[in-house]
Amino acid sequence: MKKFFNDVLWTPLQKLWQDFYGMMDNIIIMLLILLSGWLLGRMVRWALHGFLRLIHFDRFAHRLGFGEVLRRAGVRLTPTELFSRAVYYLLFFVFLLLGLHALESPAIDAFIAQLFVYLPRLAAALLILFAGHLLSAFVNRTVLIAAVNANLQFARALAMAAQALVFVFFLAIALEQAGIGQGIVVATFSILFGGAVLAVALAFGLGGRDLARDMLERRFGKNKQKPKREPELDEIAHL
Amino acid sequence: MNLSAMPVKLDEPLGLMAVDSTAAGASSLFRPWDGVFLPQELQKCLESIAEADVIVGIPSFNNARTIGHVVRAVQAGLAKYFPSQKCVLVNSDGGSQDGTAEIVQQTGIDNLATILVKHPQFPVHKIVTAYHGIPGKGSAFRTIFALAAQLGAKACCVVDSDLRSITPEWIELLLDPLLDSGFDFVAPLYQRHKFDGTITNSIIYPLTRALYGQRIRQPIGGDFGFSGRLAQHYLSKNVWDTDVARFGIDIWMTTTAIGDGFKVCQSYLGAKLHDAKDPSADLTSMFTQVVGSVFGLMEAHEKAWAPITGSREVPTFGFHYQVGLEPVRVNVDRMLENFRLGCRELGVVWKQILAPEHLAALVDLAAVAKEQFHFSDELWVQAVYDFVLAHHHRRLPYEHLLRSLIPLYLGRTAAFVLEMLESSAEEVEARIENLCRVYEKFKPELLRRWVAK
Repeated sequence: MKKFFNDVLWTPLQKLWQDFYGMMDNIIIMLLILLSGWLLGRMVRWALHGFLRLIHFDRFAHRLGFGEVLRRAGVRLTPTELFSRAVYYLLFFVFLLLGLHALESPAIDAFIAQLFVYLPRLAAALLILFAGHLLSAFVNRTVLIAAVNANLQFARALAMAAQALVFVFFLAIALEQAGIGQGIVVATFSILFGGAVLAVALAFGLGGRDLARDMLERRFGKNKQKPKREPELDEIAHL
Repeated sequence: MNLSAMPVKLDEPLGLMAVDSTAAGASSLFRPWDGVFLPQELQKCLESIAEADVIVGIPSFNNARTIGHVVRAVQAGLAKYFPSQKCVLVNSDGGSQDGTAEIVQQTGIDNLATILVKHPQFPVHKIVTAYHGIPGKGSAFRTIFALAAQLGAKACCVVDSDLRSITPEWIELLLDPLLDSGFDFVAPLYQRHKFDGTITNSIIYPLTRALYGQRIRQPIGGDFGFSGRLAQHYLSKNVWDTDVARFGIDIWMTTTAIGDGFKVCQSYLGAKLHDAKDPSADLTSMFTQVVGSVFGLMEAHEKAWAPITGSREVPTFGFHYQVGLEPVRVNVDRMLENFRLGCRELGVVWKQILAPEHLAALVDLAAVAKEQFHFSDELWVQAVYDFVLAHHHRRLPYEHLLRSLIPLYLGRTAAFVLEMLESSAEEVEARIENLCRVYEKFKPELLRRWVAK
């Protein structure tokens, strides 16, 4: 029984402890690297924030239209805050990778190597997604204002549909870039886009049935000479 | 007697391409028209004319129906009132397909004896040319400015090609203050239907007046007189790729004249009747270009308008008389519907532009029935100033900002029409005067928020 206990439980635990003890140095080194990364990140963030405020970076960014881009994307941070935070997280991420590498584990090293290969694609996908978010919000507002000025009662629904369509398009590209479910994404997008176009065509066709008939009759039919129906208009000269 | 002694048709379009004045062979002296490309054929024609005292410009685009009358009125006006001046009539066309150019070339007055006291000493030269560049009235005007500068004209005027009410006296009224009284800019003063010119009455006139302190009643009238000196000044500005090249030209001319310190006046021309068209069809572009130009000009002329308080009359020429005007149909229900739709759907956009209390007041107003609908001057002016400030502080893209103002403008116009339905022209004018005072009253607040970032 004692032998069984030694073989099954005690010996593996001892081996685990020895392995862990052997890695202790590396773990401590990793924690130190992480701590340094955190500290350095905080310091750089603080210094950068102060410097950017000193040079009125926010005003400069607004003049370039970057502040407008952030507002449209629903980001509540100022350009200075956003930039200093981004640098902080980037630094911390680099130190995290360094720390993981310090563990000297072949599996983790392999994972990091894979991550480095995948990172550019992931970054590109995120960028595409961000651009899609911005553009779709812009399209939403453009369609909404145009539809209201055209007196369309379903202006908001139309704007949201336009936004969704643009965002789905960008999402499909981003997922494709990230290599996630490529076939499904393309098929889903094709179905959605095709469906939307068909719906618009049907709505336009049904809504403009009379207009289309009038036009065709005037062009080819017996009522070729029929004068164009005058819409009810204001006679105000606005200028 | 045929006045059109030297009609010149230029088949080659008059381009507005920038010419590098530093290129080999270019004169070292700056000439105001150097930035405007004039084809060789036109150059030859200008060389043969050599110089002119007076230039009358007519911008056109598919105005075959009305331009003949305008050309006849201009020719008669020049012959009758400026017989001793060298005059040139310029038709700057945007590529008409309906024979506008041919009509201008062929139009003449067969028998001037019935309208002339004195025979003209010089024939009226006629130039028919096409302009290039951004299609629009402003580009057409730029060509006229270039020709005026090159011919060294002392006085110029421009008149719309779709006018049905123009008479030879308009030419005298637009040119005389320039030649005889030393003015540089003559704005038109018309008698219009009480519901006509709603952008002018609710935004452009009161805002321009409050900003620059000069009571020019029709700052975007479209028919202006200007000195040769001012034409050269206009040419020196680099604005020809903006809305100024389109509908923005009228307010730009007026504001530049005031803001840059030229002597301005206005002339009473009588009724302004246009060729019938569908004005609401192009409301969005018209509105954004004109209002956008006013907002943009505020940036350029900040030093000119910021210190000004109150306003004063400008010298007015011409004999004031009453004329009959054509009735105007107004679809108030459609305007109200658009305003209410805007209040319901555009809150998310207006939130970034309007002060919270103004937005709340507008939302409340949208719920009011047509019979009680009243859009107060105070609320309207404060809303317009909110838009001015949002434009200045770049809170939204330019197009979104201006287009989202249209439902508000329609709501205000509807309220104005409902309120003034039974009023006389004088009562309407008094109402507009009151609106102007409100614009002036809130100007200090506008200025305070303008400078506060």
